[in-house]
Amino acid sequence: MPTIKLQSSDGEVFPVDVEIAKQSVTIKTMLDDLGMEDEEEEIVPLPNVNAAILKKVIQWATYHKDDPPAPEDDENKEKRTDDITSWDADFLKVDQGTLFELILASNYLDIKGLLDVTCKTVANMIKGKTPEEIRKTFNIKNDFTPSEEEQVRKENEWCEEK
Amino acid sequence: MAGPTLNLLDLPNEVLDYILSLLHPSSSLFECGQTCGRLALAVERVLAHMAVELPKSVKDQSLIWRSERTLETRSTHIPQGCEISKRYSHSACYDDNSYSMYVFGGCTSTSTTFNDLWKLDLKTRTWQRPLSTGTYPSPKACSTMVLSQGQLYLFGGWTHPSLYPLHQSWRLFNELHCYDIEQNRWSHLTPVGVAKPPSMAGHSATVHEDIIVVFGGLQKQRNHIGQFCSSNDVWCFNITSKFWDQKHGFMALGIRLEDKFFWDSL
Repeated sequence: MPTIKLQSSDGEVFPVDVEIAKQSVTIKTMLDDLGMEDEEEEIVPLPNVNAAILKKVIQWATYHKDDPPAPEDDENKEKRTDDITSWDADFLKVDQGTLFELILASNYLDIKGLLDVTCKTVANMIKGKTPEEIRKTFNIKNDFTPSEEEQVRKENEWCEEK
Repeated sequence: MAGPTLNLLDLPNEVLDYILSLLHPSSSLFECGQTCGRLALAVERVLAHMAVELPKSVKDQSLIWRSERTLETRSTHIPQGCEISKRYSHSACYDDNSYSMYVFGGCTSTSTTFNDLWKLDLKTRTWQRPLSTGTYPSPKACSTMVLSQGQLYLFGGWTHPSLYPLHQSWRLFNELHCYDIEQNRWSHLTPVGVAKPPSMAGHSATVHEDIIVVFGGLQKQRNHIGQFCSSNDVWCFNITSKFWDQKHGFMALGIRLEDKFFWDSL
Protein backbone atom coordinates (compact mmCIF):
# COMPACT_ATOMS: atom_id res chain seq x y z
CA MET A 1 0.00 0.00 0.00
CA PRO A 2 1.49 3.37 -1.00
CA THR A 3 2.51 5.66 1.80
CA ILE A 4 3.55 9.27 1.96
CA LYS A 5 5.63 11.05 4.53
CA LEU A 6 4.15 13.97 6.42
CA GLN A 7 6.55 16.31 8.13
CA SER A 8 5.41 18.32 11.13
CA SER A 9 6.40 21.92 11.82
CA ASP A 10 9.01 20.70 14.31
CA GLY A 11 10.62 18.38 11.80
CA GLU A 12 9.25 14.97 12.77
CA VAL A 13 8.35 12.75 9.81
CA PHE A 14 5.32 10.43 9.88
CA PRO A 15 4.87 7.77 7.19
CA VAL A 16 1.13 7.52 6.47
CA ASP A 17 -0.99 5.36 4.23
CA VAL A 18 -2.02 7.53 1.25
CA GLU A 19 -5.69 6.60 1.58
CA ILE A 20 -5.66 7.74 5.20
CA ALA A 21 -3.83 10.97 4.38
CA LYS A 22 -6.32 11.75 1.64
CA GLN A 23 -9.05 12.39 4.22
CA SER A 24 -7.36 15.76 4.31
CA VAL A 25 -8.69 17.63 1.28
CA THR A 26 -5.57 19.81 1.43
CA ILE A 27 -3.26 16.80 1.05
CA LYS A 28 -5.57 15.09 -1.47
CA THR A 29 -5.55 18.18 -3.71
CA MET A 30 -1.83 18.47 -3.36
CA LEU A 31 -1.30 14.84 -4.40
CA ASP A 32 -3.81 15.05 -7.25
CA ASP A 33 -2.31 18.28 -8.56
CA LEU A 34 1.26 17.10 -8.36
CA GLY A 35 0.42 13.62 -9.58
CA MET A 36 2.88 12.13 -7.09
CA GLU A 37 3.89 9.09 -9.09
CA ASP A 38 7.54 8.98 -8.28
CA GLU A 39 6.46 9.30 -4.69
CA GLU A 40 9.54 7.55 -3.36
CA GLU A 41 10.88 9.51 -0.43
CA GLU A 42 8.60 12.42 -1.19
CA ILE A 43 8.04 14.45 1.96
CA VAL A 44 5.03 16.71 2.45
CA PRO A 45 5.87 19.54 4.85
CA LEU A 46 3.01 20.74 7.07
CA PRO A 47 4.40 23.96 8.56
CA ASN A 48 1.21 24.70 10.53
CA VAL A 49 0.97 21.47 12.50
CA ASN A 50 3.33 20.31 15.24
CA ALA A 51 4.25 16.67 15.87
CA ALA A 52 1.99 16.13 18.88
CA ILE A 53 -1.08 17.40 17.01
CA LEU A 54 -0.18 15.68 13.74
CA LYS A 55 0.07 12.41 15.63
CA LYS A 56 -3.44 12.94 17.03
CA VAL A 57 -4.78 13.85 13.59
CA ILE A 58 -3.27 10.71 12.05
CA GLN A 59 -4.70 8.63 14.89
CA TRP A 60 -8.15 10.07 14.19
CA ALA A 61 -7.87 9.62 10.43
CA THR A 62 -6.69 6.03 10.82
CA TYR A 63 -9.70 5.14 12.96
CA HIS A 64 -12.08 6.86 10.52
CA LYS A 65 -10.46 5.62 7.30
CA ASP A 66 -13.49 3.54 6.31
CA ASP A 67 -16.06 6.23 7.05
CA PRO A 68 -18.39 7.12 4.19
CA PRO A 69 -17.44 10.46 2.62
CA ALA A 70 -18.77 13.45 4.54
CA PRO A 71 -22.12 14.63 3.19
CA GLU A 72 -22.20 17.88 1.24
CA ASP A 73 -22.32 20.95 3.38
CA ASP A 74 -26.00 21.58 3.83
CA GLU A 75 -27.19 24.79 5.38
CA ASN A 76 -30.52 23.25 6.23
CA LYS A 77 -29.22 20.18 7.88
CA GLU A 78 -30.32 19.92 11.43
CA LYS A 79 -27.50 21.15 13.61
CA ARG A 80 -27.05 18.55 16.27
CA THR A 81 -24.22 18.49 18.73
CA ASP A 82 -25.27 15.39 20.66
CA ASP A 83 -24.28 12.89 17.99
CA ILE A 84 -20.59 12.55 18.85
CA THR A 85 -19.59 8.87 18.87
CA SER A 86 -18.09 7.48 22.04
CA TRP A 87 -14.75 6.84 20.32
CA ASP A 88 -14.55 10.49 19.26
CA ALA A 89 -15.67 11.67 22.68
CA ASP A 90 -12.89 9.63 24.26
CA PHE A 91 -10.39 10.81 21.67
CA LEU A 92 -11.29 14.42 22.47
CA LYS A 93 -10.80 14.13 26.22
CA VAL A 94 -7.87 16.52 25.94
CA ASP A 95 -6.99 19.89 27.41
CA GLN A 96 -8.46 22.98 25.76
CA GLY A 97 -5.17 23.99 24.16
CA THR A 98 -4.95 20.65 22.34
CA LEU A 99 -8.62 20.84 21.35
CA PHE A 100 -8.14 24.25 19.73
CA GLU A 101 -4.88 23.07 18.08
CA LEU A 102 -6.85 20.16 16.62
CA ILE A 103 -9.49 22.57 15.32
CA LEU A 104 -6.86 24.73 13.65
CA ALA A 105 -5.11 21.68 12.20
CA SER A 106 -8.31 20.14 10.82
CA ASN A 107 -9.29 23.52 9.40
CA TYR A 108 -5.88 23.89 7.73
CA LEU A 109 -5.79 20.29 6.50
CA ASP A 110 -9.47 20.50 5.57
CA ILE A 111 -10.65 17.35 7.32
CA LYS A 112 -14.38 17.98 7.63
CA GLY A 113 -15.18 15.09 9.95
CA LEU A 114 -12.59 16.09 12.51
CA LEU A 115 -13.45 19.79 12.26
CA ASP A 116 -17.13 18.94 12.82
CA VAL A 117 -16.62 16.83 15.87
CA THR A 118 -14.14 19.22 17.51
CA CYS A 119 -16.39 22.23 16.90
CA LYS A 120 -19.38 20.34 18.30
CA THR A 121 -17.32 19.57 21.39
CA VAL A 122 -16.66 23.30 21.88
CA ALA A 123 -20.34 24.12 21.26
CA ASN A 124 -21.28 21.61 23.95
CA MET A 125 -18.88 23.33 26.34
CA ILE A 126 -20.78 26.60 25.74
CA LYS A 127 -24.32 25.28 25.94
CA GLY A 128 -26.37 26.06 29.00
CA LYS A 129 -23.82 28.45 30.53
CA THR A 130 -24.25 32.04 31.62
CA PRO A 131 -21.97 34.66 30.02
CA GLU A 132 -19.83 34.69 33.17
CA GLU A 133 -19.51 30.90 33.15
CA ILE A 134 -18.52 30.97 29.47
CA ARG A 135 -15.81 33.54 30.24
CA LYS A 136 -14.51 31.35 33.07
CA THR A 137 -14.57 28.18 30.95
CA PHE A 138 -12.54 29.70 28.14
CA ASN A 139 -10.56 32.22 30.12
CA ILE A 140 -12.05 35.10 28.14
CA LYS A 141 -11.59 38.67 29.31
CA ASN A 142 -14.69 40.82 29.44
CA ASP A 143 -13.57 43.72 27.26
CA PHE A 144 -16.91 45.53 27.17
CA THR A 145 -17.05 48.98 28.69
CA PRO A 146 -19.85 49.22 31.29
CA SER A 147 -22.02 51.17 28.84
CA GLU A 148 -21.45 48.62 26.06
CA GLU A 149 -22.31 45.84 28.44
CA GLU A 150 -25.50 47.61 29.42
CA GLN A 151 -26.45 47.94 25.77
CA VAL A 152 -25.75 44.30 24.94
CA ARG A 153 -27.82 43.27 27.93
CA LYS A 154 -30.69 45.48 26.86
CA GLU A 155 -30.66 44.12 23.33
CA ASN A 156 -30.89 40.63 24.68
CA GLU A 157 -33.23 41.32 27.54
CA TRP A 158 -35.77 38.83 26.35
CA CYS A 159 -33.40 35.94 26.80
CA GLU A 160 -32.59 36.75 30.41
CA GLU A 161 -34.34 34.65 32.97
CA LYS A 162 -37.22 36.41 34.60
CA MET B 1 7.39 25.57 18.10
CA ALA B 2 5.18 25.12 21.11
CA GLY B 3 3.65 28.55 21.56
CA PRO B 4 1.44 29.58 24.42
CA THR B 5 -1.72 27.52 24.94
CA LEU B 6 -4.40 28.31 22.41
CA ASN B 7 -7.62 29.97 23.46
CA LEU B 8 -11.11 30.00 21.95
CA LEU B 9 -10.42 33.50 20.67
CA ASP B 10 -7.35 32.30 18.73
CA LEU B 11 -9.62 30.54 16.27
CA PRO B 12 -10.13 32.26 12.93
CA ASN B 13 -13.49 33.91 12.32
CA GLU B 14 -14.84 31.23 9.99
CA VAL B 15 -14.29 28.50 12.59
CA LEU B 16 -15.65 30.64 15.42
CA ASP B 17 -18.75 31.38 13.35
CA TYR B 18 -19.23 27.71 12.61
CA ILE B 19 -19.08 26.80 16.31
CA LEU B 20 -21.59 29.53 17.17
CA SER B 21 -23.91 28.41 14.38
CA LEU B 22 -24.25 25.11 16.25
CA LEU B 23 -25.86 26.91 19.19
CA HIS B 24 -29.56 27.56 19.54
CA PRO B 25 -30.43 31.15 18.64
CA SER B 26 -32.83 31.55 21.52
CA SER B 27 -30.40 30.57 24.26
CA SER B 28 -26.67 29.88 24.31
CA LEU B 29 -25.95 32.08 21.32
CA PHE B 30 -27.02 35.22 23.14
CA GLU B 31 -25.11 34.32 26.27
CA CYS B 32 -22.04 34.09 24.04
CA GLY B 33 -22.71 37.54 22.66
CA GLN B 34 -22.48 38.96 26.16
CA THR B 35 -19.04 37.61 27.00
CA CYS B 36 -16.71 39.86 25.04
CA GLY B 37 -16.44 42.10 22.02
CA ARG B 38 -15.03 39.55 19.57
CA LEU B 39 -17.72 36.98 20.35
CA ALA B 40 -20.41 39.68 20.22
CA LEU B 41 -19.32 40.47 16.66
CA ALA B 42 -19.25 36.77 15.76
CA VAL B 43 -22.79 36.33 17.12
CA GLU B 44 -23.92 39.28 15.02
CA ARG B 45 -22.42 37.69 11.92
CA VAL B 46 -24.07 34.34 12.63
CA LEU B 47 -27.47 35.96 13.20
CA ALA B 48 -27.12 38.03 10.03
CA HIS B 49 -26.28 34.86 8.13
CA MET B 50 -29.31 33.08 9.59
CA ALA B 51 -31.51 36.02 8.66
CA VAL B 52 -30.38 35.69 5.04
CA GLU B 53 -30.62 31.92 4.96
CA LEU B 54 -34.13 31.58 6.37
CA PRO B 55 -36.04 33.38 3.59
CA LYS B 56 -33.84 31.56 1.05
CA SER B 57 -34.75 28.23 2.57
CA VAL B 58 -38.42 29.19 2.69
CA LYS B 59 -38.23 30.04 -0.99
CA ASP B 60 -36.49 26.78 -1.89
CA GLN B 61 -38.92 24.90 0.34
CA SER B 62 -36.02 23.26 2.08
CA LEU B 63 -36.99 23.83 5.66
CA ILE B 64 -36.87 21.05 8.18
CA TRP B 65 -39.70 20.88 10.66
CA ARG B 66 -39.40 19.06 13.89
CA SER B 67 -41.53 18.98 16.96
CA GLU B 68 -39.99 20.93 19.80
CA ARG B 69 -40.37 19.57 23.27
CA THR B 70 -40.84 22.13 25.94
CA LEU B 71 -37.76 22.56 28.14
CA GLU B 72 -37.35 19.50 30.31
CA THR B 73 -36.67 21.51 33.41
CA ARG B 74 -40.03 23.15 33.22
CA SER B 75 -42.10 20.39 31.71
CA THR B 76 -41.76 18.06 34.66
CA HIS B 77 -44.54 19.73 36.63
CA ILE B 78 -46.98 20.87 34.00
CA PRO B 79 -50.38 21.03 35.58
CA GLN B 80 -53.22 19.42 33.67
CA GLY B 81 -54.68 21.54 30.91
CA CYS B 82 -51.60 23.65 30.36
CA GLU B 83 -50.74 22.20 26.99
CA ILE B 84 -52.67 23.21 23.92
CA SER B 85 -54.94 20.48 22.57
CA LYS B 86 -54.47 18.94 19.12
CA ARG B 87 -56.02 20.99 16.37
CA TYR B 88 -55.74 22.19 12.80
CA SER B 89 -56.69 25.29 10.79
CA HIS B 90 -55.97 27.52 13.77
CA SER B 91 -54.61 31.00 13.23
CA ALA B 92 -51.23 32.01 14.57
CA CYS B 93 -49.22 35.15 14.86
CA TYR B 94 -45.74 35.99 16.12
CA ASP B 95 -45.18 38.82 18.58
CA ASP B 96 -41.63 40.12 18.44
CA ASN B 97 -42.09 42.10 21.63
CA SER B 98 -42.74 39.18 23.94
CA TYR B 99 -40.90 36.68 21.73
CA SER B 100 -44.08 34.59 21.67
CA MET B 101 -46.42 33.01 19.21
CA TYR B 102 -50.16 33.45 19.71
CA VAL B 103 -52.51 30.74 18.51
CA PHE B 104 -56.26 31.12 18.22
CA GLY B 105 -59.01 28.56 17.69
CA GLY B 106 -58.90 25.93 14.99
CA CYS B 107 -60.75 22.66 15.04
CA THR B 108 -60.44 18.99 15.89
CA SER B 109 -60.58 16.12 13.43
CA THR B 110 -64.30 15.86 14.17
CA SER B 111 -64.78 19.54 13.23
CA THR B 112 -65.36 20.90 16.70
CA THR B 113 -64.14 24.49 16.59
CA PHE B 114 -62.41 26.38 19.41
CA ASN B 115 -62.22 29.98 20.48
CA ASP B 116 -59.35 29.67 22.93
CA LEU B 117 -56.22 31.80 22.74
CA TRP B 118 -52.80 30.37 23.56
CA LYS B 119 -49.40 31.89 23.88
CA LEU B 120 -46.23 29.92 23.19
CA ASP B 121 -43.32 31.55 24.96
CA LEU B 122 -40.38 30.83 22.66
CA LYS B 123 -37.67 31.49 25.21
CA THR B 124 -38.99 28.96 27.69
CA ARG B 125 -40.95 26.95 25.10
CA THR B 126 -43.95 26.75 27.32
CA TRP B 127 -47.61 27.19 26.53
CA GLN B 128 -49.70 29.63 28.49
CA ARG B 129 -53.38 30.28 28.16
CA PRO B 130 -54.04 33.90 29.10
CA LEU B 131 -57.47 34.02 30.70
CA SER B 132 -58.74 37.11 29.00
CA THR B 133 -61.74 39.31 29.57
CA GLY B 134 -64.03 41.16 27.15
CA THR B 135 -66.07 39.95 24.19
CA TYR B 136 -64.74 36.66 22.87
CA PRO B 137 -64.80 35.72 19.19
CA SER B 138 -66.93 32.77 18.08
CA PRO B 139 -65.32 29.36 18.03
CA LYS B 140 -63.89 29.07 14.52
CA ALA B 141 -61.13 27.77 12.26
CA CYS B 142 -59.48 29.18 9.12
CA SER B 143 -59.53 32.75 10.41
CA THR B 144 -56.62 35.13 10.05
CA MET B 145 -54.80 36.77 12.93
CA VAL B 146 -52.42 39.67 12.38
CA LEU B 147 -50.55 41.89 14.80
CA SER B 148 -50.43 45.64 14.77
CA GLN B 149 -49.12 47.76 17.61
CA GLY B 150 -49.76 45.36 20.43
CA GLN B 151 -53.17 44.33 19.15
CA LEU B 152 -54.06 41.02 17.53
CA TYR B 153 -56.72 41.35 14.84
CA LEU B 154 -58.77 38.25 14.21
CA PHE B 155 -60.96 38.21 11.13
CA GLY B 156 -63.31 35.76 9.40
CA GLY B 157 -63.32 32.02 9.81
CA TRP B 158 -65.43 28.96 9.58
CA THR B 159 -67.37 26.68 11.87
CA HIS B 160 -69.22 23.46 11.42
CA PRO B 161 -72.67 23.70 12.98
CA SER B 162 -73.59 21.34 15.75
CA LEU B 163 -75.42 18.22 14.67
CA TYR B 164 -78.87 19.82 15.07
CA PRO B 165 -80.52 21.25 13.10
CA LEU B 166 -79.48 18.69 10.56
CA HIS B 167 -79.67 20.54 7.26
CA GLN B 168 -77.60 23.50 8.33
CA SER B 169 -74.57 24.21 6.17
CA TRP B 170 -71.20 25.47 7.36
CA ARG B 171 -71.15 28.86 8.81
CA LEU B 172 -68.67 31.52 7.70
CA PHE B 173 -67.86 34.69 9.63
CA ASN B 174 -67.03 38.26 8.82
CA GLU B 175 -66.60 39.32 12.43
CA LEU B 176 -63.50 41.25 13.38
CA HIS B 177 -62.12 40.99 16.89
CA CYS B 178 -59.21 42.66 18.50
CA TYR B 179 -57.13 41.31 21.37
CA ASP B 180 -55.13 43.77 23.43
CA ILE B 181 -51.99 41.89 24.52
CA GLU B 182 -51.14 44.35 27.29
CA GLN B 183 -54.63 44.45 28.80
CA ASN B 184 -55.40 40.83 28.01
CA ARG B 185 -58.79 41.76 26.64
CA TRP B 186 -60.87 40.80 23.59
CA SER B 187 -63.19 43.28 21.95
CA HIS B 188 -65.52 43.05 18.99
CA LEU B 189 -64.87 45.77 16.43
CA THR B 190 -67.93 47.27 14.80
CA PRO B 191 -66.91 48.78 11.49
CA VAL B 192 -67.83 52.36 10.67
CA GLY B 193 -69.61 52.87 7.34
CA VAL B 194 -71.70 50.62 5.15
CA ALA B 195 -69.07 48.65 3.24
CA LYS B 196 -68.41 45.31 4.91
CA PRO B 197 -66.59 42.28 3.59
CA PRO B 198 -68.63 39.13 3.07
CA SER B 199 -68.20 36.25 5.47
CA MET B 200 -65.15 34.25 4.52
CA ALA B 201 -62.65 31.64 5.62
CA GLY B 202 -59.26 30.45 4.47
CA HIS B 203 -58.33 33.91 3.19
CA SER B 204 -54.96 35.54 3.82
CA ALA B 205 -54.26 38.76 5.66
CA THR B 206 -51.38 41.07 6.39
CA VAL B 207 -50.83 44.48 7.91
CA HIS B 208 -49.46 47.43 6.01
CA GLU B 209 -48.97 50.53 8.17
CA ASP B 210 -52.40 50.90 9.79
CA ILE B 211 -54.30 48.92 7.18
CA ILE B 212 -55.22 45.25 7.35
CA VAL B 213 -55.29 43.82 3.84
CA VAL B 214 -57.42 40.72 3.32
CA PHE B 215 -57.16 38.62 0.18
CA GLY B 216 -59.15 35.78 -1.33
CA GLY B 217 -60.77 33.08 0.72
CA LEU B 218 -63.82 30.93 0.55
CA GLN B 219 -67.12 32.80 0.37
CA LYS B 220 -70.74 31.88 0.20
CA GLN B 221 -72.18 32.17 -3.28
CA ARG B 222 -75.10 34.47 -3.46
CA ASN B 223 -78.52 32.89 -4.07
CA HIS B 224 -77.16 29.39 -3.75
CA ILE B 225 -77.73 27.83 -0.40
CA GLY B 226 -74.83 25.70 0.66
CA GLN B 227 -72.62 26.64 -2.29
CA PHE B 228 -69.20 28.08 -1.69
CA CYS B 229 -66.70 29.60 -4.04
CA SER B 230 -63.17 30.93 -3.73
CA SER B 231 -62.57 34.59 -4.40
CA ASN B 232 -59.80 36.96 -5.32
CA ASP B 233 -61.31 40.00 -3.61
CA VAL B 234 -59.10 42.44 -1.81
CA TRP B 235 -60.51 44.13 1.26
CA CYS B 236 -58.79 46.73 3.39
CA PHE B 237 -59.61 47.63 6.98
CA ASN B 238 -58.28 50.90 8.23
CA ILE B 239 -57.41 50.37 11.89
CA THR B 240 -57.49 54.07 12.71
CA SER B 241 -60.74 55.05 10.99
CA LYS B 242 -62.34 51.57 11.31
CA PHE B 243 -63.58 51.69 7.71
CA TRP B 244 -63.71 48.64 5.46
CA ASP B 245 -63.01 49.28 1.82
CA GLN B 246 -62.99 46.88 -1.14
CA LYS B 247 -60.16 47.43 -3.61
CA HIS B 248 -60.82 46.71 -7.28
CA GLY B 249 -58.61 46.25 -10.31
CA PHE B 250 -56.54 43.40 -8.90
CA MET B 251 -57.91 40.69 -11.13
CA ALA B 252 -54.76 40.20 -13.14
CA LEU B 253 -52.53 40.06 -10.10
CA GLY B 254 -54.47 37.25 -8.52
CA ILE B 255 -52.30 34.89 -6.58
CA ARG B 256 -49.10 36.89 -7.01
CA LEU B 257 -50.52 39.50 -4.74
CA GLU B 258 -50.76 37.00 -1.98
CA ASP B 259 -47.11 36.12 -2.49
CA LYS B 260 -46.13 39.69 -2.06
CA PHE B 261 -47.99 40.02 1.21
CA PHE B 262 -46.31 36.92 2.41
CA TRP B 263 -42.86 38.33 1.78
CA ASP B 264 -43.71 41.71 3.19
CA SER B 265 -44.82 40.18 6.41
CA LEU B 266 -41.65 38.11 6.66
